[in-house]
Amino acid sequence: MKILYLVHDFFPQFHGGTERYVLNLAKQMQRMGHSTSVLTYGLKDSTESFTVQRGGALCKTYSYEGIPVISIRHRKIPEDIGLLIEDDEMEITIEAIVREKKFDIIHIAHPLRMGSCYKVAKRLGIPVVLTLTDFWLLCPRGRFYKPDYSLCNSSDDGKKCRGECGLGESTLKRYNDAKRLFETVDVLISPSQFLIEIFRANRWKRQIYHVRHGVDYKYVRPRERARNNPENITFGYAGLVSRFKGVDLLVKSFSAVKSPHIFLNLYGNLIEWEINFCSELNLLIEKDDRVRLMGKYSHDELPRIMSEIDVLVVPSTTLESYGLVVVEGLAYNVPVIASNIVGSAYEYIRHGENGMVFSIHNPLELVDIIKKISEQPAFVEALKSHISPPPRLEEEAFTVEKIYKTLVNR
Amino acid sequence: MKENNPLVSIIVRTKDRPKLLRRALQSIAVQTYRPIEVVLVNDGGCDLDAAELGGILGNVSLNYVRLEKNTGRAHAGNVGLENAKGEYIGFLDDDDEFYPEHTATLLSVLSEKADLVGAYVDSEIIEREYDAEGNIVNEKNKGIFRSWEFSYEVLLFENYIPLMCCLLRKQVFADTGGFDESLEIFEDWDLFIRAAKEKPFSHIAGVTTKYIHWSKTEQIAFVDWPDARDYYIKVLLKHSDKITPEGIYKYFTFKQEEANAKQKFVDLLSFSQEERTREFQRLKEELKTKESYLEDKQNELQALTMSINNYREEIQQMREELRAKTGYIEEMHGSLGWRALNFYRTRIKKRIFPGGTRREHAYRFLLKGVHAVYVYGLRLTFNKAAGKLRSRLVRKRIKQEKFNLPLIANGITKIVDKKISVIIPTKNAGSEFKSTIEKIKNQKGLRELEFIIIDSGSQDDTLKIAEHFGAKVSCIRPEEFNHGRVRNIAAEISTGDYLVFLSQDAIPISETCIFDMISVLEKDSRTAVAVVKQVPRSDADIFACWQLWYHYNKLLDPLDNQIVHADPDTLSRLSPTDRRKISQIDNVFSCIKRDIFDRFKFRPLPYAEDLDLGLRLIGNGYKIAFLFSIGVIHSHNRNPEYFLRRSYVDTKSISKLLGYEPIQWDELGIHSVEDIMSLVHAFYSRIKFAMGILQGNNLNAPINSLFATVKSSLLEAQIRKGSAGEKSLDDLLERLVSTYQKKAGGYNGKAGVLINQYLDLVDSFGEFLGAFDEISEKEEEFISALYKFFAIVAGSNIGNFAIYLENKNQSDPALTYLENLLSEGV
Repeated sequence: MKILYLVHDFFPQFHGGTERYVLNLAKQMQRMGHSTSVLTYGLKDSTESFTVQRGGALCKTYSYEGIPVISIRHRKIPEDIGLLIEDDEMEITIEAIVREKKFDIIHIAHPLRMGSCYKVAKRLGIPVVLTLTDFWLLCPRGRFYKPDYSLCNSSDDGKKCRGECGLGESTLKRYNDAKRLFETVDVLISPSQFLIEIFRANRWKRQIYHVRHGVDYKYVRPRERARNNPENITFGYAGLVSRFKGVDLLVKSFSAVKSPHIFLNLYGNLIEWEINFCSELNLLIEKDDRVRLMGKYSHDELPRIMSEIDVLVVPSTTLESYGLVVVEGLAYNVPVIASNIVGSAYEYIRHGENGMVFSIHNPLELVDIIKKISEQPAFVEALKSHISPPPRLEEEAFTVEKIYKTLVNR
Repeated sequence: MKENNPLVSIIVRTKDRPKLLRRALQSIAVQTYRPIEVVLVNDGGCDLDAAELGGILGNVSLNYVRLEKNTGRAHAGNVGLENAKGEYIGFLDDDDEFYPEHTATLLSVLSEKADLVGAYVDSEIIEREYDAEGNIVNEKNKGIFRSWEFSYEVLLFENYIPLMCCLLRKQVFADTGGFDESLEIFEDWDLFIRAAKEKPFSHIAGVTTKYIHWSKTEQIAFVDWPDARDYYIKVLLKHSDKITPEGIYKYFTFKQEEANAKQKFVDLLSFSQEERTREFQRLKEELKTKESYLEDKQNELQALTMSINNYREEIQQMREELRAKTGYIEEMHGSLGWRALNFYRTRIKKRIFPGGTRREHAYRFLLKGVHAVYVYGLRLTFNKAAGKLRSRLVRKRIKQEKFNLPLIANGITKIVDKKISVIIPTKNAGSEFKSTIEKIKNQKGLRELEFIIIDSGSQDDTLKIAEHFGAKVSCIRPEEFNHGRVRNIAAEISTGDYLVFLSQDAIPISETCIFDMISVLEKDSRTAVAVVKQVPRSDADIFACWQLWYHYNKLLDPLDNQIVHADPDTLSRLSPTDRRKISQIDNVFSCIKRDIFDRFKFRPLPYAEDLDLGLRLIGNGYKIAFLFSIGVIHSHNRNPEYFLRRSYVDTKSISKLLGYEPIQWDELGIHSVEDIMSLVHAFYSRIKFAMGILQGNNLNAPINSLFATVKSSLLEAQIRKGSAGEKSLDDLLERLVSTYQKKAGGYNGKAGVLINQYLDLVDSFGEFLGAFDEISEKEEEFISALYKFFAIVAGSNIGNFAIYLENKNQSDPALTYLENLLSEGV
C-alpha cells in the first residue's frame, strides 16, 4: 500500500507529539512492507528553501529517517492560516501531488493548514483516515481554554469562539467546514476515549475507532534509579513549562507540603511570551529551594529524566486530548499523578492502584496526594508494582493497517 | 548589456545646488547599466542649464521638470514618478553619488526574482569638505552604513533602507499611490511599509552608493528639517494596524541583539590599557590558531586536488576502456551472427510470438526450461516441472472458507465458557517477558485461563515473573529440551479445553485475540487450530522485516483470513511447497483444541514439529484457520552465520517432511563434502567481490541501482579480490574447513546454481525495499542482509546435498562433523 500521512508540522523543525506519532507510524508501516510518505506545511521555512512550485504553492522534498517528506507552503501565508480548514491554493497543490504519487490511502494526523486534502481525496476516490490528535476541529485554539485560561467545554457551534474568545465572523464558517471534514472522512480514529466523549458531548456523532497510541519501546531504555537517600522522593514534571499545563498549580501544591524529603524537578521549556507567568513562577520557585528548574530536554534524554524522578506529575489545567508523557512515564514504570482532564490518564491510571488522579475543580486533592506520598514513600513502590506496560507501537500499527486494508479492499 | 534591457529611471530631486548636482549626475552617467533615464525635478530652485546637464549625462537621457515653487520632498518625488517611463525606479539626492555597478547590481537580483517588490544595497559614508567653487578640498571615509536584512516587522518600527540605496519596480508606485504628501519627512519609509505589505524587499550585502556628509548647516536644502519625532509617530500610528504582538516581540529581540552587540563594542572601548593589551594578545593568538587551521585546510585541499587528479586519470582510463568496449560492441553488431539474431528477434520472433500472447508466454516458458536444464540437469528439471504442473491442477481442489473478524473489537458481549491453557516454554525470557504474560493475563472474554511454563534452565527473573502471575511451572534440564517434547509435557500438565502455544518473546496484539481465535474454532468441530500473523518489532532490522513480509505476502498470501482443508487425494498430489503452505501452523502463537491435540501431539522431531503437526492434521481431514487479522509481535535480528545453520537444518527437516527431491549433484560434478563446500567458498568469494564493489560505491544511490550493481558484479566473468567479508560467516566457514580438504580454485562455473537462487531472493528483497525511500541510514543492515541471503542459499544447498548423500546411502565422516557443527545452537 502507498500511504500518505498529512501533518501540519514535521521533523526536523518540529518534534511534538503529533509529529512523533506520524514518524513512528510511518516507520512501522515501512517495516510492515508499505510505502509511506509525509505531506507537511513548511510554515517556518524560508521562501528560498523551496525548490519548486506545485499548483501555485511552494514545494520541496526531503527525507527524514528514511521517510520521504513533501513540504508545501503558500507563496504568501494567509493571516488566518491557523484557523483555515478549506483553502483553494492548498487544494490545487495537494491534488497535483496526490495525482502524481498515486497514493492508496491518506491518513490525516492533523488537518491544520491543509484541511482541503479530504476534498481532493474524495474527488480522486482515495480513502481518508483522520486521527483526532486534539480538539482543533471543535476549538480553533485547540485546547478548549479561553484567553483568561479558564476552561471551555463546548464551542456552541462556533458561537462561543466568536463571543468569548473574540474570534472573527469567519469562525462560524470554519465550524461548518470542520464539521463537514469530520463527517466526510472514511474512518475516524481517536487515541483516547476521553477525546471521543468530548466530540460526542459537542453533538458530533460518528463512529470513532479507539486506537491507543503505541510506545516505540526501541527508545525505552530504563536506567537504575539513582538516589542518595531512600527516604527522599523526587516528583517530576516534563513538558512545556506553561500556565495551561498547570505548572504553577503543581509548584503551589508542592510547596504547601513542608517535608524536607521531597523534591520537585521541572523539565522543559518556559514559553517566552508568557512573561507574567514566567515571573510568577520564578517567584514561587525562589521561595522553595526544593523546586528545581531543569531546563529544556530532548526526547533522547527521557531515560535519564525517568531515572531521576520517583513520581511523574501531569497537572494540566486545560484539556489534554492524550498526554503522551503519561504513557512514557508508565513505559518507564514511573507512577503518574495526573489531573482528571488528561486523556491518557483516563485510559491508563486506576486511582490509588497504579497512579493517582486529582480533580482540577479541587486542587487541594493534589496537595493531599503529595502529602500522602511524602509521608508514605513505600506507597510509590506499591503503585509501581501495579503498572502495566502501555501498548506498543507495533500493536497500534497493526490495528491501523487493518483499517487501511478494509478501506482499500472496500 | 543586452539591447532589450528594461529602462531604469533615476529620479533626482534638486534645489539650488548645481555644482553638487553635476557630481551626482556624473555618477549616473558612468553606470555600467543601460538604458537609463534621469528624471530631474528642480523643486523651485535656481535655473539650471539643461543642455549642459544633458552633456554630462552623455547617452543617458534627461527628462527635466521645473517646479515653479518649492513643494516638498514627497511632492517632488511624485512629480518625478509621473514623468518616469522606466520599468524600474531608483532615487538619488543631488548631494549623493552612485558607484558604477549600482544599477546593474540591483537589477541582477530584481530581474531574477519576480516576487520581490524591490532590492537595496549598503552605503559608504563620506565626509567631504568643499571650497567656495564647489571643489573637493578634503574627503574622509567614515565607514559603512550597513542596512539590515529585510524584516517587515522591524520595518514597521524603523526605516533601515536609505532611499538612494534602493531600486523598486514601477508598478509598486501605481499600487501604493506614490509618496504621501502629508509627510514632510519619512515619506520614503511610509512608502516602503505600504510597498512591502504584499511582497518583500531583498537586501544585497555590498556597497554601491556614497552617502555624503558635507555640511551640518547647509546639507538640508529642501525644507527646514521639521520635528522628526512628530513625523516618526505619525508614520508609526498610520501603520499601527499592522503591528502584532509577535512583531513587537521580534523588534524587541532584534533591538536587544543590536544593543548587545553595541554594548560589547562599548565594553571593549572601556577596557584599560592593560586589558586592551591582553585582549589584543588574545586576538593575536586566535588569529594564529585560525591561520594554522587555514594552513591545515590548504594542505587538505592540496591532498584533495591530488586525489581529484587521480580520479580524473581513472576516469580517463575508464573512458578508454569504454571506447574499446564500444568498438567491440559495434564490431559485434556488424557481425553476421548478430545480424541474424537481430533479424530473428525483430522479424521472426515478433511475428511468431507477438508480445503479451499465449504463444509468447509459452516461448518464455520454454526458454526458462532450457535454462533450468542447464542449471539443474534434465531429470530434476523434469521432475520439478511435472510436480509444479500437477500441483497447479490440484491446487484448485484446496477448500478455502473466508472468515471475517470484526475490524476492531467494540467490547466483548459474551464469554467463552471454556478453560484456556497457555503454554510457554522458557529459558532466560528477558525483561519483556512480563509484557508477554501480562498481555495474556489481560485477555478478555474467557471464562478461565491458566499458564503452564516449562523452563529449561533460566538464570534470570523468568521463574519469578511466572510465579508472580500464578503460572504452573515445571523445570527440565537444558539438555532435555526439544520443541515438541516440552510442549507435550506442558499439555499433559494442563487442564484447559484449548491449548495456546506461545513463544516467550512474542507479544500478542489486542486483548481479544484468544477470544477471536476460539470464536472461529468453535464454529466448526473440524477446525482444529488457529494461527495468526507475526508483526516485526520496531527494532527489527530490514532483513527481519523482509522475512515476515516474504512469508505472508509471497508464501502464504492467498490464505489471509481463510480456513483451509484438503482431501487426502488432493493433499498427496500437491507440490511440497503447496502442502507446506496449507499446513504451516506455527508455535509462535497458535491455539488448538485440546481433544484434537491429545490425539496427535507433537512428534519429538529436532525441528519443524509445528509443520509436522499441521501436515498430520490436514492429512486427517482437519481444517486450519489462518487468522491474519490477528497479530503477534515477534521478530529476531540475528547474525548471517545463524541463517546458514538455520537454513541447513530447515532444509533437511522440511525436505524430509514434505518429500522435496534433492538436486542431482552428481550431474553437476559435485560428489563429496569438499566439492559442495568448495562451491560454497567460490560463491562466497563472488559475494565478497560484489559487496566490495557495492561498498566502494555510493550507498545513497537509488535502491534499484544498488541491486543492479549487486547483480552485475555477481555475474561478472572475472572477479577480483572483494571486501573483507562478514565476520560471523568468516568464522563459521573457517571452522567448516576443518571438516574436509579444501580444493584450490573451487568450482567457479558451477556457482551459477547458487547465484540464481541468490538473485531470486534478492529480487524479492528489492521489491520489499521499494517501501523505503533510501537505505542511507541502514547501510550496515543492508549489507548484512545481502550476506544473510548468501547464508540462506549456502545453508540450504549444503542441506540439500546432505539429503542427496543420505538418499544414496553414502556415508561421509566429514558430513557427520558438518552436521554437528551446523546444528549447534539453532
